[in-house]
Amino acid sequence: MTNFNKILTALIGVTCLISNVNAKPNMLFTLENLERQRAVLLDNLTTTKLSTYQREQNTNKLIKRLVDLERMVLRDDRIATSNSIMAKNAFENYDLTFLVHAGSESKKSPMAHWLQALKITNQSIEKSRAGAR
Amino acid sequence: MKSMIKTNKQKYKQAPSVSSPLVKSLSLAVVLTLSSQVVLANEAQFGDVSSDWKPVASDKLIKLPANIIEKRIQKDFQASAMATRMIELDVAMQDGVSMIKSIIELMPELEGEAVQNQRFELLQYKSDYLDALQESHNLHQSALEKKQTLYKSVLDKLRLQSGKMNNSETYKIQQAQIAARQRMEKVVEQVDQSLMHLGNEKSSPYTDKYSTNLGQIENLKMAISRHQANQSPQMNGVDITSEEYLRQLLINVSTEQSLLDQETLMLSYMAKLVALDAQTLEYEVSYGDGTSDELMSETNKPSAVTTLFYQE
Repeated sequence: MTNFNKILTALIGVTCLISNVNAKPNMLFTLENLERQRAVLLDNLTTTKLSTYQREQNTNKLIKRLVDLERMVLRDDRIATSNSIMAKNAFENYDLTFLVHAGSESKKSPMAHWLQALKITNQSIEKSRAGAR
Repeated sequence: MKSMIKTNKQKYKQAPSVSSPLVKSLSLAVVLTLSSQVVLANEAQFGDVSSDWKPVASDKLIKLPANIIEKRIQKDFQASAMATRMIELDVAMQDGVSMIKSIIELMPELEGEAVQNQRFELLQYKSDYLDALQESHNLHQSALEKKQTLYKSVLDKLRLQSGKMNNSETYKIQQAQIAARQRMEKVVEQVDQSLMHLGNEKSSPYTDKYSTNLGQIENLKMAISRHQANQSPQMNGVDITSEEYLRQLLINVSTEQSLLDQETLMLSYMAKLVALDAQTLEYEVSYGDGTSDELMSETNKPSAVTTLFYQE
């Protein structure tokens, strides 16, 4: 094999390698994982099936997972290239998406931070009435 | 051109009748006409298809680093028929200059009609030299104009590309992500500490591996930034952007064009001098230099010959 062919083969190999690295069927994979986990956290907050102790234990576990997931999403460059509304909303609404890190900024728990971001207070809950939409 | 100069010389040496005043006058008239017209070189010669260069600012070219773009264009130009013709002209002009110098050195040693022949030959070489110089100037001018158009086109495409990128939705999401990431980085330690307070003293596998890999990634990034093939264009030892580099290239082209304009003025003056020399020589061949007539008339004056008619 000539040197030229060798170089060409090596270049094709490198190109294939780069293509494989870039091949990703779902670029929003990490963000979707975060959203699922966030939904579980919020469900954990609002559900009436759990005791206070259980809620606290579950919340701690969920927060630990959320920390990693939030960091993964913020460091994943593929999400921006997806050009999706979901990604756009996620980064534009930092306070609602990255609950653990945003809560740490405001020195609040993720739950308290979420409630504050949506302006849900004790008074507003007390004033609210149950009824059909 | 070289062959043309030699052919002219051979013709001149081989033709014995060239010394006849009529032929000389005709030849000088031709030289005179050529010398006068050299400044007004026509476009047909200028736009010769055989010595053309047609560069295109392709998408492939735009993707190259700016300093490589310049080298690629230069290489493309050097491989063109235009560059080949310019080299041929340079060689011909060098030969012409050496011939002119040797004739000028030889002239003081000659006398009579030989001097006139040498002057005629000298004028022919000068005229040929100016023709070659004129063609070379036109080719230089054309090459500079094409380079200018090409650099402008590359610059416009670069601007369009960066403008498109800056306005795209992806770019906006990228910017939002970067801003969010920076916000997150500020509280990373704080979040880690709060996790410890919650009883999670052991860090997660992601956190462990990420911090280990981060160090390696930084080393790789450093190696990439130092790599010769990834170096950004430099000017006076300072890194500059591709746009800035291309703007500097355009300035360089303008500088060369200004100098070329100045040289064209010099060329026109040289052509004028050759035309005047040819005119003088033509008058001398047609009417003589006048001194011999005066000499004759002096000897024919009655006062000069009176002594011949009497004896003292």
